[in-house]
Amino acid sequence: MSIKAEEISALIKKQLENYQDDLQVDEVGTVTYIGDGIARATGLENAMSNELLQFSNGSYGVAQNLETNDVGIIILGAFDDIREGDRVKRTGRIMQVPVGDAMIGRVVNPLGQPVDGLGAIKTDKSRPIESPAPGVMQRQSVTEPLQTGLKAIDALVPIGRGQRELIIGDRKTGKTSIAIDTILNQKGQNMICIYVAIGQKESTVRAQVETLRRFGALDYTIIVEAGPSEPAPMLYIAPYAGTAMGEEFMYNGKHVLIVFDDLSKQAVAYRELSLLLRRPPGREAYPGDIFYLHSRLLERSAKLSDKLGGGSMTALPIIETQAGDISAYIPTNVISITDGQIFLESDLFFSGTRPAIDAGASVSRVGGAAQIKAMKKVSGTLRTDLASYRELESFTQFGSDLDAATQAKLNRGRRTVEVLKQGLHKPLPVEKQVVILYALVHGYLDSVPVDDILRFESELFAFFDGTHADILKSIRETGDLPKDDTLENAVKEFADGFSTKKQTPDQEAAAVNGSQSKSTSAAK
Amino acid sequence: MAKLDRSTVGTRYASALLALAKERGNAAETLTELQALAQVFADQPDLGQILTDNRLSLLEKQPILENLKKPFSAQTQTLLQMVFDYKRMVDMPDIVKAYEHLYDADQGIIEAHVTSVVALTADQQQALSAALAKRFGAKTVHLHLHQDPALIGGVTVRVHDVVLDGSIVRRLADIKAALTAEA
Repeated sequence: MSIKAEEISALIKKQLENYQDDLQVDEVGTVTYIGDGIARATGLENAMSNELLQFSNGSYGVAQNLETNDVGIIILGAFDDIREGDRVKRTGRIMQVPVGDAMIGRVVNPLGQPVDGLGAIKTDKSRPIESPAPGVMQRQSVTEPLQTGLKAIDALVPIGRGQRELIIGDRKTGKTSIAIDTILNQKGQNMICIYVAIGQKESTVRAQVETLRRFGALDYTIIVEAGPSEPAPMLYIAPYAGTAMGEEFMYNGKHVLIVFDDLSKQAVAYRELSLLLRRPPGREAYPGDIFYLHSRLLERSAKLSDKLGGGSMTALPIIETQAGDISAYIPTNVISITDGQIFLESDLFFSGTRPAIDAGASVSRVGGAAQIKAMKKVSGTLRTDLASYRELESFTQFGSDLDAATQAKLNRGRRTVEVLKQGLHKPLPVEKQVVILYALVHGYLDSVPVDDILRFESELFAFFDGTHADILKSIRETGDLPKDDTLENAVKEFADGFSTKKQTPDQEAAAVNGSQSKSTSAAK
Repeated sequence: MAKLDRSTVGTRYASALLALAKERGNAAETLTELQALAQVFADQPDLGQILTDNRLSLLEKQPILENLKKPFSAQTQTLLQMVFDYKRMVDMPDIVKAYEHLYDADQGIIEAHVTSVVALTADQQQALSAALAKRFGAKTVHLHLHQDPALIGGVTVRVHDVVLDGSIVRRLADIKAALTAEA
């Protein structure tokens, strides 16, 4: 191969075009303290709050505390080769991350640099990580539903596009699974998803990325990752960086779903660097502005007015509680900021009710406005019914003499719990959710034994897919139940057929195992 | 009360001293005396520490102070005695530094630290002084000349917090960054 000198020189010429040969003027300071990801520097008299500063080893930092004689700086990157007495210079810029379509499908760190080994990200757009939230006139109320694909959420605590819904619960209660399933269900929904992993084990994040890839969800997802081995400043800025990436899409009229997994770790990282910056500690040693930390982040998720393109950003922050204590500092803060919460309980989780949503403590302040009409009709009072069933259940454990109405309520409750169970990574389209809930609230399940409900459900879906696909289509497209009684007739037809397969009550106990094999054969 | 950091202490004493010296019209003389004093402290790094040490009695410390005070004017002697009484002798170099700083700001003087590869000629120095005076709006420019072959060529100037970098080594680094940046 011959070396083409002209080509090479043309290339170099192009690269050098932006190089300017003039005097460089820098404002510098001197590092007087360094350690734990924090530096202090004297000088830098004109440095601005949140300004990006550059150390002599090439690392960047952000000016946090501006004091009479020195500046407190958080360091984003390597700090082990910065020494006392080193120069640190102003850049005149504030912290920005690359944004745009090129980010989709990539795994990046909070600085927007790729960490998935798939090469450089080619984008010429960037946004500051801190930016003001949309004001009153720039918003409109949340009306479009965001389908999570989870019956328990779409029916009980519906989420709208532009809403902030907190997912809260102890460790190992399925918080992340809800978020990941929601991302999986956004396929073909014209949504861009951003999953911000803050302080999650790198192996866990890897597993989530693989899950998303396997279900084809990576085509519309950005993953921002700040692992536990990175310094606290990276964990602190990760959600802001993710939000900046989402804003780019939102202000271009697109719909964004952003998951912060989880904000309690971000709060801990912020506590760490605040203490190192010698800000006074408050309750639970968190600094005074810990509320503002989360409120200014979550306020940036919004439903924009039509004038601004009508884009939206839906936020699903996750908070981990300790032993179910939602009255701790960070949980109460975030509960008061968000538009509702999904409370997951470990008792429910271990008793097999998954997703383990506590219907009593979970709410959505947007409510029915974020549901399609059909869902609104079938879910109606489901949440309060379920909550009262839970209450009734604990009472009736002591007595056996119950009147018929209470019995019926208990029966219905037991079946509701069963219907709302759902497997991992099996999101369900809204029209099917409507059909099964329709069957439930119209009493078609009351005569089906609890053990048979899952079989009933899967056979019902197969029946509708096979012979009544038009009804599913009409629910999906009109968002409403059919005007005539086609749905009622179809469900009735199926329920009648189903009950014939069932044994008589006295045979039932003997054939518990039989139903298992029957359901598998029926599915075939 | 929280312990004051050293630059705060220095600025407090120095601004009071400058106000007094300006009233008496001997600010420049005070500066020369203080610079001589700073030289003594630089030659004897332990001096400030010894004069504030609580383990030594006043009788042991006072003679050292008398020796230190002897060559100076009455005003500087008073200053030294007061700083000694308030147990701030250890901060004396900071007071001097702050005084220089305040005096320069007051008189429109800038201290420019110039680094070049070869020594600058008198003409070059004059031109540089004039250019710096114009840029920083100063009346007088004091040049402190340094030489460093690592610059390869060109000049860097540091005035207080601002660095003007016109060195070849910096330009080479910029070219390297431009060439290795992802296009």
